[in-house]
Amino acid sequence: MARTKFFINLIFVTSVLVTALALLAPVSLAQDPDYDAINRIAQKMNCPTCTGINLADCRTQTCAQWRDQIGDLLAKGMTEDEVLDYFVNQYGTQVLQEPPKSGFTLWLWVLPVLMIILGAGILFYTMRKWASPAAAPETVTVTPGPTASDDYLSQVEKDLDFD
Amino acid sequence: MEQTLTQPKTTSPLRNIVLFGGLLAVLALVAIMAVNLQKRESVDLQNQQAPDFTIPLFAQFEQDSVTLSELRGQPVVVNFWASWCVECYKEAELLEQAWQDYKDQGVVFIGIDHLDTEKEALAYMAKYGITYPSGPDMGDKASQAYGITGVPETFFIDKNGNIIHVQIGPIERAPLYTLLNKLVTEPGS
Repeated sequence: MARTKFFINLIFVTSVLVTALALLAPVSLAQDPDYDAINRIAQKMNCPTCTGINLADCRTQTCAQWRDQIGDLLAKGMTEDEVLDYFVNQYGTQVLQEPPKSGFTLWLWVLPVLMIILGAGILFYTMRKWASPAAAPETVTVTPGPTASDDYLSQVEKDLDFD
Repeated sequence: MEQTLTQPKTTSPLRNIVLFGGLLAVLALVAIMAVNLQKRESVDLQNQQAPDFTIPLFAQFEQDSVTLSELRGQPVVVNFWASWCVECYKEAELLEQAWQDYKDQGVVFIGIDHLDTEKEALAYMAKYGITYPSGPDMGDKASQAYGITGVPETFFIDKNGNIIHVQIGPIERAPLYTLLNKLVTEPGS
């Protein structure tokens, strides 16, 4: 009898604990922002009020607010890309660490590659020029036709002929 | 009589490509410099036509958005602010008071919330009792058009749409009211 009572109490206590955990777990999950996810997104963004500082590393109040905002948006169920899109829409593309590969900012990606290709071309051309022996200028033999000045010169030579 | 002449060597295609590429690079640099030279800072806008903008307003306002060009004929005070801006606190209540004093004379105040988060912006407005139209600067477009160097910055625009004064940093009561008097007394065209 005592044993049955013990089991009934055990089942009761266990069910109360399980119910309590089930009720508390979602609340605690909802209250704790996913700091890893926030940092992952923040690392892809710039501090809006300073230069060259990552949003994840910046200690200003603005950045703290922005990181909270990222947490709020993630809690609403937004994906990483959706959060980034929200910030771009709200504050412009300059919030991104990497400029988007479209429109005018595409040049920021293309130009360095073009410059490298151009530099390699100049280097190749210069080295090839240095490596090859000085090329002899191309020569052609031209036989000029008789001209008025040639007749004059012949006459002068004839007149000067002392023999 | 035979003569030996030296002929110039024909240019190689590689050389042409390199020269063309170099020319392109120089042109690109010139273009970037030209774009940078065109960028104006806010103080350069004094006595210039105010750049037009449209901003959405926070949900608490009746209107959805406000467009500067639609306010032609009325003096406009455009204040760039942010909830994280310590200097903005100093003028927040003064601006609200000035709007209360001058709104019946046709002066329009517009607050442009710069690089801010909505939750904190609304809390700031509630704390300082801001009731004139205010909204976020979507895409930072207005801030860039006005070349602001920080917040707060305030632009005083006359009835003809010209900027008569650019205030960098918080404004004091005396100069604020002097400027507002000037705005309401000057005739529009």
